[in-house]
Amino acid sequence: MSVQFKILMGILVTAATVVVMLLYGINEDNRMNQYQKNFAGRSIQVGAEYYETYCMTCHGERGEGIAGKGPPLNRTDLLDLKGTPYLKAIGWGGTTADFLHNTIAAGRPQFSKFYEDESYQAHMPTWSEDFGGPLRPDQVVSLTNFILNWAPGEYEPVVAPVTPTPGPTATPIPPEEILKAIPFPMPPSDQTLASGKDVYTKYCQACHGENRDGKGPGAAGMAKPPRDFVDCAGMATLGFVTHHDAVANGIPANGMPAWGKKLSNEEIWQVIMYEREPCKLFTPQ
Amino acid sequence: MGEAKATAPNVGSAKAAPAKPAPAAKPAVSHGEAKGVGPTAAELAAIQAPMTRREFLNYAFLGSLGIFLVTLGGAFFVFALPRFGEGEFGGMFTLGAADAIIPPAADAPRANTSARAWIANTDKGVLALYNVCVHLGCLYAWMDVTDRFECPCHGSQYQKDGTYITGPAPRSLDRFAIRFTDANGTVLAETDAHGDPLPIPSPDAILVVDTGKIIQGASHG
Amino acid sequence: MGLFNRQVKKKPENGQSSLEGNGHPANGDAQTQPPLPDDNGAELFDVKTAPTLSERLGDAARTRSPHAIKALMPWLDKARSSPEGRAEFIDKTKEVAWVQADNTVRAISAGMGIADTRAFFRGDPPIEKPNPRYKVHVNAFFAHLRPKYYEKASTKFSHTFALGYLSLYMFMLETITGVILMVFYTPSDRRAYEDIIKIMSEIPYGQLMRDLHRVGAELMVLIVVLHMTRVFLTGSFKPPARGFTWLTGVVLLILTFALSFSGYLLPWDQLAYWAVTIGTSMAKSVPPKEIVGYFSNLIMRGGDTINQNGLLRFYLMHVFALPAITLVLISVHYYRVARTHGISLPAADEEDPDPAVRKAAKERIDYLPELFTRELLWAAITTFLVVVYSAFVFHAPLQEHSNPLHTPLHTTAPWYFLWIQGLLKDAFVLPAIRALDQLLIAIANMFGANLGEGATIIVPFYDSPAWMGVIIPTMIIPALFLGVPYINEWWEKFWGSKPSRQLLKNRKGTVVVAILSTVFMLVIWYQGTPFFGVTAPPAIEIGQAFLPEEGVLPPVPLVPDDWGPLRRLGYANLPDGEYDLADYATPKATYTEFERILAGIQQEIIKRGQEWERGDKVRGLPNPSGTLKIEQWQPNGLKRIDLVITWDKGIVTPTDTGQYVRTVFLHQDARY
Repeated sequence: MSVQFKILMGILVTAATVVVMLLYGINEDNRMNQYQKNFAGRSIQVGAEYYETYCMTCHGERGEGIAGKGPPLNRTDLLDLKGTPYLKAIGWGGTTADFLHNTIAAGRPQFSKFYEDESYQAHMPTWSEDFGGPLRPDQVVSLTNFILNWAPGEYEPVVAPVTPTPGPTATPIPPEEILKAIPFPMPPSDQTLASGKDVYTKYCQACHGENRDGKGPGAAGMAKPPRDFVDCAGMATLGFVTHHDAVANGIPANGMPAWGKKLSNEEIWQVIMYEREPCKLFTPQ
Repeated sequence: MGEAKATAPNVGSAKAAPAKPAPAAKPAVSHGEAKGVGPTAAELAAIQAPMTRREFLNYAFLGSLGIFLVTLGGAFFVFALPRFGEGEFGGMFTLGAADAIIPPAADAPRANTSARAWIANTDKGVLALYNVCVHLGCLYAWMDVTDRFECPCHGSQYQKDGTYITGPAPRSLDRFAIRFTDANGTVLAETDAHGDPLPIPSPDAILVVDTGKIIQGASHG
Repeated sequence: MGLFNRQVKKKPENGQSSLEGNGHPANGDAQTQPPLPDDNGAELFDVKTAPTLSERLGDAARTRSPHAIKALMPWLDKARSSPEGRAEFIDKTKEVAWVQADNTVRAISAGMGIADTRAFFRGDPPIEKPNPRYKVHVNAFFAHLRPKYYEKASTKFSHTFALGYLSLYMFMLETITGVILMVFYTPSDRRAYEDIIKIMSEIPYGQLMRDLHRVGAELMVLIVVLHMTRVFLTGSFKPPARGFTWLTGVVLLILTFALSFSGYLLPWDQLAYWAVTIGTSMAKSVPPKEIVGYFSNLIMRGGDTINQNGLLRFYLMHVFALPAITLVLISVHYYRVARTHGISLPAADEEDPDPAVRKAAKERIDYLPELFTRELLWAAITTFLVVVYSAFVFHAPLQEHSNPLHTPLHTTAPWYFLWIQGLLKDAFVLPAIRALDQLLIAIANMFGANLGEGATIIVPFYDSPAWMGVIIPTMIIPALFLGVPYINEWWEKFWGSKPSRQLLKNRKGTVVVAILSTVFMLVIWYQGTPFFGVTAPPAIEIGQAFLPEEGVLPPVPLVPDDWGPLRRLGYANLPDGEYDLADYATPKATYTEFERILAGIQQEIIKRGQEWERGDKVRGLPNPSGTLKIEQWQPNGLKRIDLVITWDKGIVTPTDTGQYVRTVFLHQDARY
């Protein structure tokens, strides 16, 4: 093999490598789409296995629910991905996927009120090991994807686990802790209300208004106006848990920020009491 | 290779010094150049000279560096050694009342993931078997169809009470020390040193597994 | 130094005293000027009167311009005054420009001027003397690592197969692709698996980089082993000179295994988790196992099982500690090959009785440019092959997220550790010891010892994992260290061979040992595969064959994992329904792909039934039958496949339920 031949070979082979890389690159978008679907599909398969192990006994073999034990999960009205009336009613600002993920991960301290004609014997337990349950975060994500796969139409699989940062400032605050704090973590005393007013003035007043009527200067131009705390008819539907959740975790869809990292739990309760003062809604309904 | 032919310094010096026949010495073979001649008078003198203070101090210096490195290695070892906190695996696990936790004697053993144990109820009593295969650390599992424990990695098999059947495992399954207590915490029954099965004293006795106390299974024949 | 001298020597006589020394000294920046030996240009410029602006600018140009321009200044005025001066100025300019260009090329090429550089590329012999290409080897860092020339016979492809070079190439490939992968990888038990999925499905060229890394890793192990084999067969390990080089090579082999194995954990899938669990459990058996075994296992895993700590430790080993040590050892190894003893000559040439042949073998081939060209070509060809293989043929497997609570069936170590896994199954020694034990018991009973069933004498003293997983594999290493270079020589002398390197002439003992050990390695390697010695209950084996729990990794390198025929057939080709497999007992030519698989399952079931008839209670099943059920499980493309196998219950064991169900879910987008 002469040197010239070697050089020629080298040129050809190098050029061929470049061509292969370019050809490979042309198909990358297509391939990546297929792989995303592939791994989403595998996640659903894995979720189906875990569903059989952990969920089937209460929610039914195919998510049809078991009367008195667990509500159905394959209902399209629950899984409407654009947001359901139920999620709106409880003031959930996130997506349906987030709601499912958080419910599986952190459990549910209250009985489901989704189907009013049914009653259930057991609480939804916490499943994620982050909240004392048996499942790893990736298993919770797989379960979420499996349940979401009952939804009609296109769905957005939860790809990365929504990993709560462990530590004292972690949010979201699990509902069972909120429940632990109810009733009256803060008696609506003058002192509580005064502290609540301080917090309110500092963080909330800009949008919710000095008079707590939702007409603060910051509210101008909002698609959905901020909560009017003076509107007692509206406030009557706002439960403690939802109220706390809105303050601590925010309602991203409406522009309500999450204050859970900035405020202590005590401060959140103080400001909730202050906000509920106009309608005197101090007792859980 | 040109360099391969380069003469090593000791060869040069050997040539320079008058090659005195040294006391019968085997040809020195090193990884470098073979010399092929015994030590010269100068070399012998250097070898046999008494140790000077400076030489001793040099060795001592090197030795102290060696000791320092050993200390460093020890510090790294202590640094990297994992620690086990309270309430983690290695502590006591209170599993609950016997009739709720322990399967009936005819049934398959039950797995408990937090205590990493299989709770097996044999004719002779209850056992808490450590769920790791004594061969190479895979998790064996109960096979309903063959009525025995089987390890998926290298095929070791064990009976319900952990006794070795076949496979490369060196001994029967390891078990945890267990005890039964009543509601007040009084110990009703406790595993003996051999880790023999423990009969259930009463249906409402509470089963406690001591995962810090692993009793090795008997070597088999 | 060489550069400067050459420049001074080339300077023509009429170039005055110094090329850089003719600037004006009076207004100049003294510190930028070299001291002038002779100031013959000073009177050209009048500095007594206050300088005008243009004079000041001129001065500035003269004093601050590069020395090449300054060197032309004396000719500038002549050029202004006369046509001859102009011609002289042009000549001078050309000359200065040449010197500048030539010096620049010399600086870049580390020793070769323009003419020699072109001669180098043209393939002509060097122009200057001494050979400026050797100067490159002295001046340039990367060239200095390489020898100036090789002996001709040692560069024959059929002598070395370039395996040492390719080992280094693979190490470089691994380093480059590894650094690229590190950009997106987090060594965390919560993120690692997600990051691999992200690399594969969201990063352009991400999958290619991962595949290249994987292919490179497996090839590196393969090539290093082949390199070692070649060195052994050509007798290129012989002491005194090459013994130590062989020793560093053995350490590099172990480091290659360690690098490959530590990287195995990082994808954090089931495959990774359990293979590494088995690997670290072997360390548990290092005697004395209560101390060394116990602590080395703990230190490696960072806990009693592999968890976040273990992942981080393996990651740090993989990306930092092991590559650093490997790099140092590669340097030592290479230095010895390049500088201390060189690549060995083929034994036949070196030992040829004809001095002319011996002389021809030692003829020099310069590294630059001949061997350099050859190495570039090898690199280009290897890159091409590796890229094509990674892009179109092989994709690195990624199975389910690691689950510390469930070991998949038929978990194996990586293919290059299967021989250890085969040893661990202990198919020779343990049965032998058992048989010996039985014999001893029989003898003891003959003398009235009355030892019953289950009695043991010597078996309890035999610790299988310690011997098979640790002691014997570790003994192979000293055998490689010392045995090959030193014992080999003694062995050959013992059999009366002449001390020679020729394989078939004088090293017959070596050939026998090599063949025997290769056969032994192949046998224990086969024993390491799941085909040997691991018998799950027969019904589970049928399920595993057609619907495996996880992808089954073939025991050979560079073949992707296999998820069984039903998954491979895919969602779209699995018609819903309940299929009684007895209907497919006789395969027909008209069968579809799906029906052929059904027939395949039925064949397997029939085989198990026949084995039971023949009396094989381990592999056989009494009167087995099967059903395959495929159901649409969710409307959005999820199917459920149940393989139900039933047989007569209560016969195999009294509590036997006589039924086994393997359930698998298959999504329409999942691809296998």
